[in-house]
Amino acid sequence: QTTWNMATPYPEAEFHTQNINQFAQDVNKLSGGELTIKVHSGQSLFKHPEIPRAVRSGQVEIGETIMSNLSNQSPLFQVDSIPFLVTSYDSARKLWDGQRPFVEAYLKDQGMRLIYAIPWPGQGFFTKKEINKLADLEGVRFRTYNSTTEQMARLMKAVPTTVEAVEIPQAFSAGIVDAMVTSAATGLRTEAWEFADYYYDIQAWMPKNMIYVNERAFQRLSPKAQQALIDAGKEAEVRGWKLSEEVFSDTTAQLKGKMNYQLPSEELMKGLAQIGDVMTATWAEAVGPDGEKMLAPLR
Amino acid sequence: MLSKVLDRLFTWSGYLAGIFLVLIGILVVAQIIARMLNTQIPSVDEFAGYSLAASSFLGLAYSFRSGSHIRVTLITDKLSQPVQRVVLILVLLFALTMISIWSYNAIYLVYESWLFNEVSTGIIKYPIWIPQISMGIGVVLFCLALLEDLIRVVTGKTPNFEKNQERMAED
Amino acid sequence: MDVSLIGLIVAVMMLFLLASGVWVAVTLMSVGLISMLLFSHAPAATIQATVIWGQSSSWALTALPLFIWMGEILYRTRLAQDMFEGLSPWLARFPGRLIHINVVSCGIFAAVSGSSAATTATIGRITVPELLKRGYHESTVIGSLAGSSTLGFLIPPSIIMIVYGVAADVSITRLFIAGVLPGAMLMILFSGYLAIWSLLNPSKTPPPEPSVPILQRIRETAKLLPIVLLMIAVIGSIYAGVATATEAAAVGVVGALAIALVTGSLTKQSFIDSVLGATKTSVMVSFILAGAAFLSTAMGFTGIPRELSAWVGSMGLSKFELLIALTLLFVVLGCFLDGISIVVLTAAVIMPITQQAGIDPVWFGIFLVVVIEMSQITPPVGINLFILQSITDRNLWEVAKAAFPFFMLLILAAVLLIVFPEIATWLPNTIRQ
Ligand code: NA
Ligand code: NA
Repeated sequence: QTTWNMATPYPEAEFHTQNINQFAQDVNKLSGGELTIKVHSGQSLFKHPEIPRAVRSGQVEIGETIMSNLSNQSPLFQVDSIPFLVTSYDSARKLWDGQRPFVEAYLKDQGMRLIYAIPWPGQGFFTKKEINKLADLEGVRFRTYNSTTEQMARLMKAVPTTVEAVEIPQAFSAGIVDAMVTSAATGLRTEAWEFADYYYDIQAWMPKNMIYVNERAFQRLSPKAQQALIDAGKEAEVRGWKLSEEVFSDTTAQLKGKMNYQLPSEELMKGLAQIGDVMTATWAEAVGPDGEKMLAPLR
Repeated sequence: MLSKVLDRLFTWSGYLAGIFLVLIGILVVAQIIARMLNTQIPSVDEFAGYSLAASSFLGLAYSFRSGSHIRVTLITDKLSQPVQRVVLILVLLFALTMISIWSYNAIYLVYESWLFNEVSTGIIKYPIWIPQISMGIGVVLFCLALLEDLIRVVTGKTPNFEKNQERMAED
Repeated sequence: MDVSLIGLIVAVMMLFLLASGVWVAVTLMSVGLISMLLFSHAPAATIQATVIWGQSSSWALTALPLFIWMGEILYRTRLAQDMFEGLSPWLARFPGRLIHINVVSCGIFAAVSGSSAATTATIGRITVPELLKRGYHESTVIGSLAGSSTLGFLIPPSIIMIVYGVAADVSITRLFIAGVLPGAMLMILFSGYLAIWSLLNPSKTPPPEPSVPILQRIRETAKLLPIVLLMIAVIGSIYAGVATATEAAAVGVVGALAIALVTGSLTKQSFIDSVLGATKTSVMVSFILAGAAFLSTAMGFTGIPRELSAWVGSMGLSKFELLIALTLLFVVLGCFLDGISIVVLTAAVIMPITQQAGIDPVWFGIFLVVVIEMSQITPPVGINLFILQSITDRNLWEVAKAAFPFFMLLILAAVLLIVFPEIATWLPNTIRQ
C-alpha cells in the first residue's frame, strides 16, 4: 500500500481538478487499493512555478502544470500558446499528437513521466471597445503575462501591459488595461462583464495542462499499480478532452447572456492569422527540424 | 579581530538588503512611469519579487544581530541568571542546528537549479539560480551570526542580539 | 497514527520551543521540518528550500516592505505630531479623544493595503509613539492597534479575500464589496468600545488639552493637509488607474519622501536610517511569513487541518451548529497557523461542506475573514502580535492581553454577522441589480 501526494495549481471548482479527483479515484480502484493519490489542489503545497521542480526531485510523486509555464525551459512547450495556430479541438488534438513524443522525451530526460494532458477551452478576447479589424487593436492596452502574449501584443501594435491575474478587475476598471485574452470560463468566473464590454470568441489558442509523475517513484510501484496509473490516465485524458469541450460550450452559452458576445469578423481573423503565421515561423526557426515534426499532423 | 570582520560582513549584508528594498520601490515606480508612457519594463514583477527575496535573506543576519527577530521570553525571564544562560545556550544551539540544515537545503536548491538549467518563467529568460543565490548566501551568514552569539554566550559575554537591541518605543 | 494525536504533539512541540525563547520564525520553520520528518514520508529537506523560496520571492508580498518603509520615513517627519495637533481640537469633547486615532487610521490605511501585517507595522510606527508620549493608556493604545489593524483583511483590497475567492470560486470583486459594511461595523464596534472604556476609566485618559479659539483651531487643522494629500495620492492612484493595488505602496513611499523633503526632515542620514529601519522590520516579518508558509506546507503533508475539517463536516450538524464548530476550529487552528495558511489548507474540505449546508459563499467569505482576523491577534502565533511586540518592546503576554477585548469584539462581530447576514450580503446584492 502506497500513498502519493499530488500538487495541483488550480482550485477544486476547476474542471481540471475535478477530472484529477476522478483520476485519483480510478487509480485507487484499478490498483486494488494499492495506490492512493492524495490531491492537494489550489497551490496548497507548492506555488504553481515550483511544481515541476517538486515532482522532479520527488518532493511530491505527481503534479499538474500548465505547459506554457515551461516555455522558457523548452520551446516545445511554447508551441502550446502560439496564437491562432490551433483554433478547434480537432486541431488541438493534432498538435498534441505531434507534440506528445517530444514532451515525453523532455520529461524522461528530467526523470519524470507524462501521464496525460488536457486542453483549456479556447481563449477569446475580452475588450472594452469594439474590435472589427486588426487596426482597432493599435494602441489598446493589452494584458500580457508571458513572453508569448507579450510578443503577440507587440505584433498587434497593442501596448503590452503586464497585470497579475488577481488584479485584472481593478486594472480594467481603472483603465490600466483595455483588453485581455482568456477563456470564456475564466471570464465567467471573474465576472468579466463587470469591467469589459465585448467578448470575441476567437479561440486564439488552447493551452494544455499536463499531469506527470516522478519516474523513480513510478518504478518503485508494483506492475499492477503502474498499469493502474497508465490506464486511469488514458481514461482521464479521454474524459478531460470531452469535459473541456463541454465547459467550452456551457461557459460560452452563459457568457452570451451576460455580455456582448461577438464572433470575430473575417477581416480581424485574417489579420490575426497573419500574426499567428509570423509567430509560428519564428518559433519553427528557433526549434529547427523538431518543430516541423511537431507541426506535421497539423499541416 | 574576528568579531570585527564579522561585524563588517553583517553590516554590509544589511546595507545590501536595504539596497534591494529600495530597488523594489525603484522597479515599481519605473513600471508606473513606463506605463504612463505606453510601454512597459519586461519581467519587472519578477524582478521585484526577487529583490524582495534578496532583501529578506541578505538582511537575516543583520536584523538578527540588531535584535529585531521576535522571541518569547516571558517564561525564561523568570528563571535564575545561571539557568537562563544554560537555556540560552541550548536555544542558540537548537537555532544554529535548524538554520544550518536550512542553509544546506538552500545551497542544494541553487545547485539543483544550476544542474537542471532551470530558467525564469517571465518575459526575460535567465537562469533561476542567479536570484536564488541570495537565499544561499543570506542563510549561511545567518548561521555565522548564530554561531558567533553562541560562542559569546558560552564564553560569558552578552550575545550581540541582546547587546544591540534597540528600544524602538523609547527612541 | 491518529491525526488528533499528531496535532497535539505538534502543538506541544511549538509551545515548548516558543516558551524556551526560540525565535518565532525559527520555531515555525523547525516545527514544520520536524513534523514532516516524524509524520510524513515526504523529503522534508528539499521541500523546505522550495517552499521558502517560493514564498519569499512572491511578487504579491512586495507591497509589505514598501509600506513598512513608508511608515519609517513618516516616523522621521513631524507628520504624526501634526496629525495629532490637527485632530485634537476636534476630538476634545469626544469620549476617549485621540485614542480613536488607531481605529480611524487603520480603517483608512486598510483601504490601501491588503494585509493586516502591513497595516500594523505602518500605522503602529506612526501613531503609537505619539499616543504614548501624550500619556494615553498604554495597554489600550496597543490593544486598539492590534484590533484595528485586522481591518486590513476586511476592508478591500484584501489578500485573504483573494485567496478565499480563488479557492472557493467566488467573485473577488463581490467579496471586496461585501467587506465594506462589516469593516465599517467593526470600526464602530472598536470606537464604541473605546468611548465606553474611556467614560468608565476617566483616570486613565490624559487631561484634555486647553480649549483653543476657533481661528487657531483652523490653523491647527491645516496641519492635517500633508497626511490628507498623501492619502488622496495613494488611494487616488489606484482609482485613477495610475497604479495597481500592489503598486500603490510605491506611490506611498514617493509621497512620504516628498513630505519629508518639503518639511525639511529629509537628510542623507534620515534616509539611510529609514531604509535600515524598514529592512529590519521587513526581514523580521518576511522570515516569520516564510516559516509560516513552510509550516503550512508541512501541515498539508501531515493532513491535520484537512482531516479536522472533514471531521467537523462528518458530524451532521445543522447550519448554525456548523458555523459555531467551524469558528471554534478556526480559532484553534489560528492559535498556531497564520490566517492565509488556514484558508489554503482547509478550503478544499470546507467549501463542499458549507455549500451542502446552503451557506452563501460570499457571506461565508466575509464571516471567514472576521474569524481569521482573530487568529492574527491570538497567542502564541499571531502575526500582528509579533509586529506589535517589535514596535512597543512589550512581551507577548502583555500585547496579547491588551488585544483581548478586541478579540472579544471580533467574536461579537461574527455573531452579528450570523444574526444579521445582510450586513455582508446587502451591499453586493444591491449594487449588482
Ligand atoms: Na485592506
Ligand atoms: Na493566532
